[in-house]
Amino acid sequence: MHRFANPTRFMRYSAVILPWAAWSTAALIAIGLYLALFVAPPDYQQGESVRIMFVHVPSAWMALFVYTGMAVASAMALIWKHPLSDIAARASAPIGACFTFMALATGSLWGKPMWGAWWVWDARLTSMLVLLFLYLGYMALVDAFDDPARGAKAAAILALVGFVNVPIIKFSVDWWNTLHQPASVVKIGGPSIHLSMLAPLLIMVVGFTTFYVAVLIMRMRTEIVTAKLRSLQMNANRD
Amino acid sequence: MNEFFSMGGYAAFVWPALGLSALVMAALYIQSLWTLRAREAELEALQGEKTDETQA
Repeated sequence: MHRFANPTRFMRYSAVILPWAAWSTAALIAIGLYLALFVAPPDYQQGESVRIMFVHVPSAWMALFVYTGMAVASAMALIWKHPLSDIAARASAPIGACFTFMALATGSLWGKPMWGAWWVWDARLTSMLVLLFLYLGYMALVDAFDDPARGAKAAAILALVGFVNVPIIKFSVDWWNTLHQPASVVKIGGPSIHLSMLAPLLIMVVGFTTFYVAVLIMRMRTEIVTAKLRSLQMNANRD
Repeated sequence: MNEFFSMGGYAAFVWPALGLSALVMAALYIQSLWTLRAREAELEALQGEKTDETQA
């Protein structure tokens, strides 16, 4: 782990991975959308509205996945104080916030025709809204201090405390009576969804993951270049 | 073709959901790429100045 957690090595490897991640994203989302819109059948209960699932479910999963990654990176930053883990957590926050917003917005557009309401204060929806506020709170806190190290530390603690919300979101549909449907892919006994719908869904999930990798690399590189710029400017002022 | 775009009567929900997602992802991608390019250009300019000074 520590072998790769070196900024110079990160700059070298990430430059190689970035174009692959970007092009796989384009290819996977193109194939996934084609299968989702033209090949997958309409749902027997929900008709054509079920096609919203192919962006709603991947973005909701990514919202949780990115937050988990952010919490792990924050823990590593607090324990080992490695600069790359702070950078990774900080770079992840806006990406996770975008996925959470997409999950909420597409869910609202799916809820109106199926439930008859754009929004209900149901356990799943409310905990997802809390996740969005956690992301936004993290982003505000990390830049709220003059000393970037203090901001990073405060934000890392927020990310760790907020992690309690992740299992709450995942199990909200089992713990409470909710309008939101329960899991049909990740559950005991295997997925209860037909391959014609499962295949495009999983392809979209992989495509969203490579998208996250590509944007994460760009944002982490931005942070490293900015840090280098700042130290160069400080040296220039001293001369 | 019209039947495809009408999405069985759910066009007003399916297309905005897809469009909004595409918009958010494209905006995030482009913003990240442009910021990276701008910072890299700034760094290159600053390092160029430095080497000029040392050569002079």
